[in-house]
Amino acid sequence: MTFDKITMDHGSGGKLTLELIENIFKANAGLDSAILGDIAFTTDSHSITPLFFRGGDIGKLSVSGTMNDLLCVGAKPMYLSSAFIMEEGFLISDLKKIVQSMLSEAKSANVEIVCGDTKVIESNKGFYVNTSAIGKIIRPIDGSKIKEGDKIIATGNIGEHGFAILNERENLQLTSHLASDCAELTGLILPIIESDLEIHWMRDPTRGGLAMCLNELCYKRDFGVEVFEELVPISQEVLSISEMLGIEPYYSANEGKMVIVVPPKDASKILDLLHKHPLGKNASLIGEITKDHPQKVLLNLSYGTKRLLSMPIVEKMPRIC
Amino acid sequence: MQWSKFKDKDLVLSLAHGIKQKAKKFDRLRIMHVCGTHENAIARYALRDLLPNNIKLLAGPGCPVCVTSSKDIDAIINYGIKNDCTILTFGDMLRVKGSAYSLLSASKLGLYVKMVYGLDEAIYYAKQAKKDAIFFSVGFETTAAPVASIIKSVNLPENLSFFSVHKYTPNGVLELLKAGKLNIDALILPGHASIVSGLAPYEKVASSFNLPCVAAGFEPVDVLGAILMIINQLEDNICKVENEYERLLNYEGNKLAQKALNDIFDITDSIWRGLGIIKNSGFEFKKTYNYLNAKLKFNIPFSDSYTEEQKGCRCAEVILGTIEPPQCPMYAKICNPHNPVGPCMVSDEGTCRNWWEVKGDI
Amino acid sequence: MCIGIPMQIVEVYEDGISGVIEAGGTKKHCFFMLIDNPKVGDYVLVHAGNAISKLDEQEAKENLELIEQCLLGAKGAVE
Repeated sequence: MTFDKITMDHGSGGKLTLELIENIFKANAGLDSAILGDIAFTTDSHSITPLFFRGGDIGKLSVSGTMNDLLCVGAKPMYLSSAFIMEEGFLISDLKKIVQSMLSEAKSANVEIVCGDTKVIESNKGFYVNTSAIGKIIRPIDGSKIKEGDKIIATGNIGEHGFAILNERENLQLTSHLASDCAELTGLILPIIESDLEIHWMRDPTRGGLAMCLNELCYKRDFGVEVFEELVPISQEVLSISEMLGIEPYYSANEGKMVIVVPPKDASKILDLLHKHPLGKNASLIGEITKDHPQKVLLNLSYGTKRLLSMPIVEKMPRIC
Repeated sequence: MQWSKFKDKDLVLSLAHGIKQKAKKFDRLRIMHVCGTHENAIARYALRDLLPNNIKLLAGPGCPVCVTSSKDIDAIINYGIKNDCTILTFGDMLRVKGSAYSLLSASKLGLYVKMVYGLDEAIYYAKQAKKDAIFFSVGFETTAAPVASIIKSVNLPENLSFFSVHKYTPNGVLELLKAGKLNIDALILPGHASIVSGLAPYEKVASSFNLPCVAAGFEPVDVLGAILMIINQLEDNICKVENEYERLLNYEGNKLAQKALNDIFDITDSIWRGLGIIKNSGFEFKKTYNYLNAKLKFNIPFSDSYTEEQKGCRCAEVILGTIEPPQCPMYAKICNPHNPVGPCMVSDEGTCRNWWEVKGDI
Repeated sequence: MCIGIPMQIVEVYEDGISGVIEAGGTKKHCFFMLIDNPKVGDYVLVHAGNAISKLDEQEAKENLELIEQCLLGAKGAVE
């Protein structure tokens, strides 16, 4: 598709974001972090409305998202930078809260925030945080070993962050206990990276949800993905909201989940490890790699039928009826 | 609770089996539904794949966003920009293009649009806004009746008015059949719209055009159950109106909703996108409520002449069941959810959009 | 917004025409002008923020029986 201007959809983490990365940045959209010998390096900018939400805030998000990106390539997070761009008039008390969240999340991941930057822009232009981080590669996970028959694991219930944020941002006036799942996953994932169990690919299914993540898994590859609807872990609360808004949980963002591709021999051992950690108690094997339909993600429905789980192209809007 | 049984796997598979067995007697059956939520359920559960090849399940003009005329969209955009009004409407209405802009893309021309989920939210925003707010009131009787009842019983802020593009399903279907535009063997009636209208308005459809008509709910068991009921009718050579959605739908319909509609609206002719003017198929404010009618209150220039679609767009044929989306040369090539050329690619209820989501570029 | 799943009334405000409905832990404001005698505990179908129909378990059960009957007819034809 050709565009002469950036649209909001270019930032939705879907197909258009991918095209921007490939066509304009001329970069490979393949991995969440760069693997540079023994070092993994990544960067992530964070903008979110509202800044404070149930389950977290932009500070927590800016650390956890970047930590999780390092874990994806098999690295142990080590050092983090933080850069703030904030509007004139921003409350110091809010800034303090955000910084406190960053510190406690960094502590939880056992990383140090070692450098930073501050810029102030005109009022009403927003508040943004960029974090960059380096990690030590325990063993590189770059997707090159993915094989037909490999199993796909989701580490927990999907869709929570997206719906929690949508509710608050759009003022849906739904009263719900649903909170963002925003969390750094070092405690959950590092033990697996450090074990002798094989991992072929890993990604956190953030913007664009599980659907985007699985489409990226087989993007321009010679294999496709089969997912089994009955196996995808989804909470009752997310299911209800999803029905109310007419948006499927597969397209709703996650900020504390991981999708892991593993060889069949290690799948159950990895699941056992995940289940031992509170953040992985709902981990489930959700699908597998297939050669039958390269580059396509098919959702197997409980009735024995299948359908495409398409790569999201625009942000889903609630339907009128 | 019993509700989950309407998704029950064994029951769905038994129904699919029953349909397959019975359908053998027929060369070909073209069954049309006229509800976007039906199309959404059919696509989401891939129900077409459970049907034998000789049953074609067609999506009729049942997506309210898709049948909203581009003239109406142009009018509300022009007025909103010229007079600095807030336009309030449902999420899936935002991307539908008028002749040049959608409500969403017109925001770069200075139009202020706010997505709402119901009229209660629109009232809330209008109260906050200092300027005039217009609710772009779209939808079939299912949406028109709630709007009417709220207008009757809730104190509305003075700066809020309504631009009604509401449509009335039974007359829409009837007129399309009269005009010979629908080549079908049976109809699945919209469950929720029929909760409001009741089933009596469809008696004429069944008797005059020899069409089995079955009102259905939106779970897989409902849709397949309705198809089986249709086949049973065809087998017995009868054409009548039946109710598969008994748990929520009464034959008489919702009397309170019908009264609210009658109190607030007159039935008028209305433009359906791509189909032209359809007699007695729209809801317009009664004279008593002129003060709420944005078209009159603000003298919004409005032409009732027929609007041609975007050049090459075949949405009209799609919603008449004449072609399937991939038969349109623009489908998935120029026309996709990011850049919908025609209205059927916009809403999750739109036929093209549903096909694109679950079948991709094909 | 059209909610396919039935939601339960958990509160009826004093005005008698509005209140709160709930499903799966999520609550939402709702108008009740289009149903008779809304009561806490009732299940309703909601459209555009307005309950348009009530249902109970017995009706759902009968609805299932209706569909199963059609199916029996279908099976009968096969045998």
